[in-house]
Amino acid sequence: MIGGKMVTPVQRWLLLVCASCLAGTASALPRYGPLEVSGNLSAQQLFRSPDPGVWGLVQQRNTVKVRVDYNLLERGRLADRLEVPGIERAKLFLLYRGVYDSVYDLTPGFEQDDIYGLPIGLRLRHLPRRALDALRFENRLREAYLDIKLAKLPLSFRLGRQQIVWGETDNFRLLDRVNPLDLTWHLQQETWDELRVPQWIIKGLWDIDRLGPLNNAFVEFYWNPGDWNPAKKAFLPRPWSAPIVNPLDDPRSPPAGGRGLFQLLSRFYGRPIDKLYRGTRLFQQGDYTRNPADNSQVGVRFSAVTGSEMPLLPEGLQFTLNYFYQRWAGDDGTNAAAFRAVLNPREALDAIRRGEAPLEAIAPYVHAVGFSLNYAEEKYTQTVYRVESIYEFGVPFVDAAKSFSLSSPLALLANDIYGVSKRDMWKGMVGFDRPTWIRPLNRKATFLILGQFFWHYLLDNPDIQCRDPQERPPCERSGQGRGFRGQFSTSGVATTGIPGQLAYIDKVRDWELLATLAATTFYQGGKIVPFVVYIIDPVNHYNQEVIGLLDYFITNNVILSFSQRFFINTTSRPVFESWGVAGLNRGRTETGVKLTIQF
Amino acid sequence: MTKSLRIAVIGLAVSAAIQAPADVQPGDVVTKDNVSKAEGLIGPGVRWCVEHGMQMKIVPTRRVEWPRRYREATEKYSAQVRLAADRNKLENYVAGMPFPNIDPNDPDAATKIMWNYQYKPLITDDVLMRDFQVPSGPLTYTAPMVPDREFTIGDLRRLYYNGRLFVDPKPELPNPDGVRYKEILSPVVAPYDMKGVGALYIRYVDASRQDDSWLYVPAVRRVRRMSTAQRSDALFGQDTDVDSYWGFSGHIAWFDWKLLGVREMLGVLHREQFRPQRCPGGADFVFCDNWEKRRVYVIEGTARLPQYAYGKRVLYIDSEAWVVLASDIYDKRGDLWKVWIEYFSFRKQAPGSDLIYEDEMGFTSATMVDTQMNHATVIMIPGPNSPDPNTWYFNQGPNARSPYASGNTEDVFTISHLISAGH
Repeated sequence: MIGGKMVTPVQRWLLLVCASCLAGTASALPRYGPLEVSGNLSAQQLFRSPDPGVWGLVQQRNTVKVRVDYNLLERGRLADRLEVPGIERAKLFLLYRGVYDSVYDLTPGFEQDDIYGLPIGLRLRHLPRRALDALRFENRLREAYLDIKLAKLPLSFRLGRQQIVWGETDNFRLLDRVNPLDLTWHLQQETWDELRVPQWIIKGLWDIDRLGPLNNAFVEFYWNPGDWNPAKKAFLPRPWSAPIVNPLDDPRSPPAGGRGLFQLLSRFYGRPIDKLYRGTRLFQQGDYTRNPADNSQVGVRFSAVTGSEMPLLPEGLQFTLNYFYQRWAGDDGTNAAAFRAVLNPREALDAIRRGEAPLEAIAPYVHAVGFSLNYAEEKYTQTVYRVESIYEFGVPFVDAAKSFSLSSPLALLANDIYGVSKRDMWKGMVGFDRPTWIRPLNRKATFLILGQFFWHYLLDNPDIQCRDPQERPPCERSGQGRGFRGQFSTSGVATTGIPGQLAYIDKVRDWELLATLAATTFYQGGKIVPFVVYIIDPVNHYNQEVIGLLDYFITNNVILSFSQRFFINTTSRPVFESWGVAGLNRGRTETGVKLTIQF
Repeated sequence: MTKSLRIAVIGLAVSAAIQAPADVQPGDVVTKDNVSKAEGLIGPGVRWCVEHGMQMKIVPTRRVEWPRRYREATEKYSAQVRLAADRNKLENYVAGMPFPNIDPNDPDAATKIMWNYQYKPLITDDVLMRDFQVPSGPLTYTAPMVPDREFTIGDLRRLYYNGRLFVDPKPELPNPDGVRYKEILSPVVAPYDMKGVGALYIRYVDASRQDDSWLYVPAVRRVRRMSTAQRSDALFGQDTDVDSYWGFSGHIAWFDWKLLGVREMLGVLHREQFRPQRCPGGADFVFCDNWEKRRVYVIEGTARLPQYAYGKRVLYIDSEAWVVLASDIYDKRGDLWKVWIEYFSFRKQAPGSDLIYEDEMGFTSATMVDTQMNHATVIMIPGPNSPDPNTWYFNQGPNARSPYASGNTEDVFTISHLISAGH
């Protein structure tokens, strides 16, 4: 359906013919010079198979992208006529993305289980109409910015809605944190380029080039003057969601005793309570207002390559030093807090009187410093080595030691919502890229083999203890009294008797580790491009992901892509991993077919 | 004449006839039907192309003059140039050709030829090539190539740091890191899946020092470091590799060089038309153009790097223009794998361009054929879809023009430009 009307086969063919015509006129579009117009049309079908023999269509996404590059000003002249002092070059960049996903009209599919293995009895069609509409369409000028290079200074600016990407990692993020992610697009199963939320940012670049023993030196800095939001996440039964129902308003939610926080409070206090504290919204709006004074994000990096006179370091090493002062977006695989309980009883009761739950979505500022480097070692290994690391000051975690006391008027929430404590974290990645000949598999081109090893280390992580010192975690009887709680922790204290529903403590671990190995090559002159990826999380029950991708270029401008993703868990118990690998994607084994026509 | 003398004369004549090399004359057209006429004048790779449809129109040989400034610099400085003991560096080099007098009996002759090639007169300061198409596809030999990939390159630039003769500062840019040249291919403008891709390469004066190279990948929106071993790898799966640009762009130190001989061979230095003309029908993977006899150094380079794609390269280097006319590239088993052919057009002005050079410049196009996979990549500069006559800028420094960055100056050959141009 489009706009509530069914798409007939005739309309579908018309759309296809239009797409073909567009592809046919590709050569007529300006693609080199002051004005360039390009883009693509794609149709992606994804089939999910929780068990062999069970499958369902979960995505039928049709996307159009149109990109415009326009040289406004060249060599200080506007339209080659009007002199503009002080500016050497200015270029406009626009990128539009429009989406229609017919799955939200067809609403096929099966009932989904949550991360605890409980059937939630929800299908896509159970979503309200408004939610389906929000998922069905996207119509957005994703990026729109102006590149300006000054005439007299080695300084350039990029002004507008944009993405900024720093760092060396693939598929998991450390320094790449300027733009938050939209994890409702396809969780983390597509390129960050599609998932990042472009934002209105002022970026500057001071091109230094030579600086003592360094070359290729530059300083890059940005200021996001208020257009920032935390990572966008969703709940079941949306296909690309965290594997739980909404803990705030869904009666199937295990937190709050299986009643949903809002329902629990509404029933207890006899008034409608359907909002979070002070108008905050989970994964949308934290405890700030969207203005420069309250929501600015800034960052700076220095990048350079070591020259021959550099002491200690080998020549040819490219490195960056980075600093960020940003709000916590919650999209780098850290099991951090997205909200905090308002523990002051007076404030909490005032909030309840206003129809608000004593729970606030938060996105505190976090200082972060980091570095990245890459180096091509050619003599012995012919390998490129990559390293990236970041140290964060004051990441928020849900702290079980900060809860409503059992004697408080809000004691019914004592085991469900908690306050927050901040801790520092050290995160990093070491990786390698190596072009390698595997001639029995491909005599004509190398395989590029890429490996990465990630770690997250939480400093000063308190031990988990139950309120009753005699009880051992998961504290089903007395509740957790000490230690951090991850996002999938539940309470067993107020269970409603749903069979199999227990208390779970999603441990916030000292160390989280992850390893990835990938390989790609080219066959038939670049016509066939396979890509395989293996991911293993050795900390959380060795949950694994295996991905196979294949791009087949039918012609230069028509691409057929196949994808297969297997999520492998080694236990039937819930796996509370926070990277978004197999624990969060249990039962989401996925097969995809995508047709792209580019122009 | 006595009987014995007559027998001797006849014997000599027969012997001469048997040993006489095949030859071609201006006006001849060499095709697969009479390719034996060019026996000895073409290498196995070019012969393979002729046997698969390429036609060679033979024209009289024309001189290729060195640029005046290059000639003067050679006269002034060449006597002082020495080859370092490890053969990986030149000592006392300033500008011009380092070793203008090659003695084929010199044990270092091959290495000196390669150093001459490294400092060839073709480009001394900088070059910018704009807006050109690179189709790549399978060969049927009966029907025109249907490209399975076709890239449009925005800019391909090179900036030399030493041996400079035209653009200040001369003869060397400030060069604490000992850079020989920087090269940037950025951005690829089509197709859309490749739009914004770019690569930056840095070559150093000391050949024992490895190159540095980075690739900008728009899909991940960041620069990736590349291993030097990738320079010989097929670029995005096409047939070409970075080391084969201009016939050879590899590092002198990566090969053991051997001079196989100095021979008269055929090469393209004066194309009939400025815009390269692909052969008709199933032979359109090469250009059908004017070939002339040239005096050529035949050099064999055997790869030292274990990860290098090829076993050896045979380069046919013109002894006057010091460009690679063609190159036969062999796999590790010693079988012919690929052939690279350059199609030069030495002239002072591109048709329609307002830029007139004081010397003849070597505008070129090229083709690379994978003889084992029956696949080819054609590089057309200017491309058939390039309306602008100014697709080449030789030694123009800040006066070179491009929609992506005017001026062939140091600030363009940087990682930050790679990122900025790629978006």
